[in-house]
Amino acid sequence: MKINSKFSDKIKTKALSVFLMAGILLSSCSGDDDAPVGSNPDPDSENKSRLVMQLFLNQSKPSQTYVISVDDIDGLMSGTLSAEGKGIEAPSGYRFGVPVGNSSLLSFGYTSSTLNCISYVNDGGEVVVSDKPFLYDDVFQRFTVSEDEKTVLAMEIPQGAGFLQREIYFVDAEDVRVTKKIKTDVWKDEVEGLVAMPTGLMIRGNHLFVPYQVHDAEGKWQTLRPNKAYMAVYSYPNIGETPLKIIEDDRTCNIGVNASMSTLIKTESDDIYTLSCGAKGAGFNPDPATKPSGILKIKNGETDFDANYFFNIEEKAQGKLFGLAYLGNNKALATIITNPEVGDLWSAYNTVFNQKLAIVDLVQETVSVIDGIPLFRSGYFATGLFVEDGKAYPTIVAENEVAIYQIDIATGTATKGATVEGRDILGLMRMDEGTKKNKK
Amino acid sequence: MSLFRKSYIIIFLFILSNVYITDCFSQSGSISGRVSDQKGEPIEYASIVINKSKGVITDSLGYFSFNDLEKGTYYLEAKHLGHKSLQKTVDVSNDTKTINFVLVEDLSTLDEVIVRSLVETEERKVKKTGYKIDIVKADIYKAQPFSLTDVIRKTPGILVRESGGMGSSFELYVNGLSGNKIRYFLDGIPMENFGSSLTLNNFPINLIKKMEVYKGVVPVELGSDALGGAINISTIDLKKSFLNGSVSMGSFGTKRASLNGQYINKKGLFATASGFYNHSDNNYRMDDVNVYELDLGNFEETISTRRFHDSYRSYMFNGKAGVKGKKYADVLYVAYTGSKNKKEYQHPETNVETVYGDFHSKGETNLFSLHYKKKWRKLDLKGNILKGRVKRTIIDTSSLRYNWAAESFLRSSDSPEGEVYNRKRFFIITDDIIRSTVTSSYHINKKNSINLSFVQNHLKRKGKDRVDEFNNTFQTPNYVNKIYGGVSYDHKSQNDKLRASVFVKRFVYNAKIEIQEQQNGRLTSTEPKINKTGYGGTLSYKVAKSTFLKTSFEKAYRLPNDYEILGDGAFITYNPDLESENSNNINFGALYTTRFKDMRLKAEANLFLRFSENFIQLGAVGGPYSRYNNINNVRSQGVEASLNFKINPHFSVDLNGTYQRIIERTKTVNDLPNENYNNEVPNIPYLFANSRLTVHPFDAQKKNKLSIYFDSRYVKDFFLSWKGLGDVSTKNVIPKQFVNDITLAYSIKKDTYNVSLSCLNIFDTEAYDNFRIQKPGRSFFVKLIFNVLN
Repeated sequence: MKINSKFSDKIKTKALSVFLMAGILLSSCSGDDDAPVGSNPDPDSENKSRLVMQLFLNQSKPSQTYVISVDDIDGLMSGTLSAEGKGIEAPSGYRFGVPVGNSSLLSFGYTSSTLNCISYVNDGGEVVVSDKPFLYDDVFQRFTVSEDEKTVLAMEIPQGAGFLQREIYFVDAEDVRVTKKIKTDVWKDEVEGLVAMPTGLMIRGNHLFVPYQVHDAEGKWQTLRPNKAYMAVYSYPNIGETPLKIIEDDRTCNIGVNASMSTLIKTESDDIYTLSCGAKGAGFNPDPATKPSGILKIKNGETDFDANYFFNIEEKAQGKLFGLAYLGNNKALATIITNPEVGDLWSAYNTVFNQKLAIVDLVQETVSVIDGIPLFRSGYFATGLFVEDGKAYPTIVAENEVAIYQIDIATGTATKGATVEGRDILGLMRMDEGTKKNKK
Repeated sequence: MSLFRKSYIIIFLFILSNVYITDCFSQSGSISGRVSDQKGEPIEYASIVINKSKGVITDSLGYFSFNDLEKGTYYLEAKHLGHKSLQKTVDVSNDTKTINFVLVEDLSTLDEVIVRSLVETEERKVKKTGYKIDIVKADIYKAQPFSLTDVIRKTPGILVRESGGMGSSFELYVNGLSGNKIRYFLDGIPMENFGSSLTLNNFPINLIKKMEVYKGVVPVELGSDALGGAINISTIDLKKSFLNGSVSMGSFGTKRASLNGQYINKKGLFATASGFYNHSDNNYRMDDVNVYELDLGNFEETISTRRFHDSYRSYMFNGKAGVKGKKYADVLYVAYTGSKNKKEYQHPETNVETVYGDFHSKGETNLFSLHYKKKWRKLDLKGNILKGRVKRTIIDTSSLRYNWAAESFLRSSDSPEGEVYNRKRFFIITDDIIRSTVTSSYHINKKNSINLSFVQNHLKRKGKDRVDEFNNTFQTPNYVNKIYGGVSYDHKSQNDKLRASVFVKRFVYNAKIEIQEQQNGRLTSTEPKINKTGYGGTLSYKVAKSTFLKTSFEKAYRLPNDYEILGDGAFITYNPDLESENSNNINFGALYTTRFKDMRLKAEANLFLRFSENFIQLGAVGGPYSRYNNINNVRSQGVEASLNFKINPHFSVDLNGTYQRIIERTKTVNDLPNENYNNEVPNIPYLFANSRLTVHPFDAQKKNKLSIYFDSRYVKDFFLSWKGLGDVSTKNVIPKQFVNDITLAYSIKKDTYNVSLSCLNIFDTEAYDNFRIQKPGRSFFVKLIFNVLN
């Protein structure tokens, strides 16, 4: 509409002149300049593969995630990782990031107002959002990628919803579309008012493994049977409404902690290892577990806990295991809460800086603590751990500073890398150039 | 009661003793009296000029007075438009002379233009003080299909942001501060917890007289913890009997009606009845919304469609009965207000991706009150007491899921899930409120006065869910008590060039909270207490004829509200350690008025600064839990300017605009550096402007008259999220908005009847608000007004 735009321009000029004085007045006393704008990926760079991550801001009103990328490992190891003038602004709120191989990053909204899944791909060295999202009802909290990297399983766990069933979504990783949904209780006891709170998902061959905590059905988030490990075993890909069987072990406590994607490990030889924590600060409520924190094993080809294996972390590291991520060659990076009695409920996520990193050898059952990292919190590898060329890159949330550290797996030494202008890095991955189909 | 510390009592006593001394030993006389018409009805706003030099204006009951007069002979002239002037001479010694004027009607001088300039006289009186105040006169908008929110957003420095059409939730910003940092008053009574059917967006413009907007600094008479400002809505006008009403109908199934009648007999008995009815289907067109598969949730297509589940209905009745002009009371009456509403929700407040088809809420408010007002020679006293019950019901019992194609899908008949919540919900929250207010002014002499104000506020909250047995929110009732006391001292200089005021406010908060802690099921009882003292002052100086410089300051507080302390009994846990929000508010302003023949010009500019700390914000605790904490520090600064230009009786222009910067000033969050320290707080417009053109194309003296109003609003585009973060091309931007409305109104028989036709958003431009949610496009309305027994 021509008339309109003409008229609007007139008014705009007027409004501008009215406020010009005021603007000068105000900006002159403020002193901070506008940030430079726009990202400039080097067009001559031969290696179009990029390191991509979600940067989650510390400031929470509004809380916000930006998808940023760097050219190479040097970009992780120096300077700062920030969204200043660069990065793709994601829908608001916290978002889980699930790397699918080296091809795409699936981002799942966790805030009730943005429960959608979107995907990021590498288009000729530039990270772009791929197509339209899909929506879901309730927050997803558990994810796993199939062995052929074609499917992502995401589990929807309604909170405070009584015996409402959990739902497993099959997401086509390339098209970012839901192909089917399976409803399951996993486990429940209606007489006692108890439900299963799944804490992880792992596909191995024809089976899907789902460890869980036992919670109250009202959703008070009480871990009412902490002193046992529970795991449901389903067939895969034809997941039934009820699991094939449920396995239990009373040598340790419940497997898994809230919000973590680093609860289950699968080695090159297809052995599965599990994390049991039991600390109050990790959400064990009203009482922490009395059974020791440690690691159980399900051997290749079997669907029971290995009765001969229990790696007692609590005894060997004088702390409780809070995060466990695979490094290769039967080694894993472990986060250990050093003094579990300190801190209130949920303090390991938010308030107390009392965690450290260690490299554990799953076969030798040894723990070697990594020096040179300040005590930190939130070390639960919310969206996995980036490992490349014998080095791992965890994000360390220490008091007053968030930074990337480079862990040399062979030597067990840590080198401080880039500082992070935000609260966390989620879903750090190497993303190769995508196929045409992936592009916008 | 430890309401005031000792020192205040001493200051107060000191001031009182001064009053006493001044009063006893003054060697002057005074003149007082009353101006009435031939029927004996008081005439408000009549001007009394003494010795052709100084003048005063009569109050609502027709009274006036001149104090501190030296012995001598005085010549008085009473003037009121619509009446013939009258002159009297009086001798004064050390006594008080009473002189009454009875004015004879003279219709030849009366027309709308002059009546309006009279109202401006009252406005000028308030504007002379140092407070930053804007007055919205209802009368000039009466022909338009507007609610109070539609009108108040035309004020400089004010933003009203709505999440949709009629009845949608709104957020009102005063100089960058919003939400419960702004307090509302209805005829001086705090409107806190009055329920969703008595909010500004329900009131049609025809039911009120005016709105006063105090920015940053609030006088003690408006007794509340207003951190960023206060809005007082005046409805009472006890001058005469009247009956008027309005009906408007228009696009999107919108209907508004109001009726307002008052009868006053000669003995001073009066009865008033008023009410409104609002309805809208709000079925306006949404452009480019996404349709998702109902079962799997995959994206299907983008369509443009009408909203299908967003209707709103509200109605209110208010009745008053009492006496006026008695020895024991100038005004004494009882009042009842009853209101109800029902609201459907099309989507969440923050996005349009999820769609609802059944979720709705209801509100019901019942208020009983008693009001008293009396003016003695030197003392004014006003008081009221109110008891009420406010019910809110949230209904989420549907097993269906909807999308924008208005298709629905049955989850499963036995699913406990609702549309919005994980479990179906029929949740009723009942608030019982008891509130009382006493304000008093003591006029020590012509130049000095003291104002006192006291407000008590008691709330009992109880919750009950008829469907969800897990929902134990407010199952045990919780109590909150707030007590407010304020005292101010006002001074006027001898030549009336300088006006100053200082004030102190005291807030006392205590609550009894019994809550079953969600995390461990234990019943916890806590009794948080907060005591705060705020203070401030205002100053205005008349630098030249009709030019004022004004400044005001307040150290303001907002106490945490019940919800912030109590939590929701589910995933928002209680926090008894919550502290008040506080802010240092500063205004600098200038006001200029001039007239030349028929032309009138008023220009005003104001610079505002708000240094606010301890903003209460929801923060994560862990797992699904969160809690309100004192987190944010924010600084707001800006300028606002307005220009009212009446060129001649046929044409006038009103322009205003605001530029503001709202800066995040929190250094650390969660023990970590705040990456947005010194960044601009996002999702709030920073440059906006309004204009209004009024045209009366024909002779203003005629009995029938045509008026044309052309309203425009401009809001510059702004970011939804943090400025400077992210590549600009990927950022969510709320685009520039420029919306124009036009109204043609024809009034018959000197405003006895009025017919108007309006077109809102003439050019059908895209208009957005909070979170990029689309607002209605072009719409048409017809409005009829009648005004009998006038």
